[in-house]
Amino acid sequence: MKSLCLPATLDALEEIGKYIVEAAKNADLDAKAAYGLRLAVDEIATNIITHGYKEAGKIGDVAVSGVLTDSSLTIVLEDTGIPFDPMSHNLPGDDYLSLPLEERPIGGLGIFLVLKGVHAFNYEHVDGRNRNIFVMNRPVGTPE
Amino acid sequence: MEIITREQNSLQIISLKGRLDASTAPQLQTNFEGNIVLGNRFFILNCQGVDYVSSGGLRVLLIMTKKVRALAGGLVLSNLHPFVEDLLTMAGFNKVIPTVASEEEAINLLTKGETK
Repeated sequence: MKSLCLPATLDALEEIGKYIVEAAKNADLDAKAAYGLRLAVDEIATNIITHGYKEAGKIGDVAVSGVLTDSSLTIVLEDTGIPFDPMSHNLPGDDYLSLPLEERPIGGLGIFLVLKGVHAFNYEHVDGRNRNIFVMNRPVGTPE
Repeated sequence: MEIITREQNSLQIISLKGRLDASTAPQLQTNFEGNIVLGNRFFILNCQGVDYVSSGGLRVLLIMTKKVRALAGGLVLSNLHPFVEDLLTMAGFNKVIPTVASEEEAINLLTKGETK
């Protein structure tokens, strides 16, 4: 799949969303799975743009790419904002949903939705770049 | 995002169209806060035209809910897209923000609970 490189501003969210919707369609994901993936990518992209760049006083790009195989769709977000591992902060515990809204850790909801929305999520920092990796299993036996 | 507000039965009915995410939610918040300044306290958010909400959108819905409660008012969401409703449930927001299937039900809910 063709990759997309966008200036890291909140305006990029719309284009990233469209890219994911298209990728999910190509991968035959059902509508619910597609929403989960779009939400997961959107949450991380929002973090990259606001925390990785804007609040850090940095300017740069966010790139989205996709790899489709027979069994999975992998989406990768890459950026050169400050190194940030989403899994290292505010990871919601088992009691997350039982906490009153005002007592929940800030930022916890985003990563909660990421982990709920995709089959696998990984983060790595390689050559000065953040790489957030989202994997969706494709439906088995989908007719062509 | 398109935001259209009208008044009915002394309630503010806000119809939304588009994505409610980190880039568009501030528009809704600004619009809503402007409406609060005018003295309005009871709101229906018709989300029929919203097929996508992220945590940035949820955050603003929560801010709005807290604000109307502080003013002894009310906010009800109506006509939610099934996936958006799933998201509210998954995030536990359905316990805090009332959601109904139609504007009519929202009007009933708000006028019933309203003491005049």
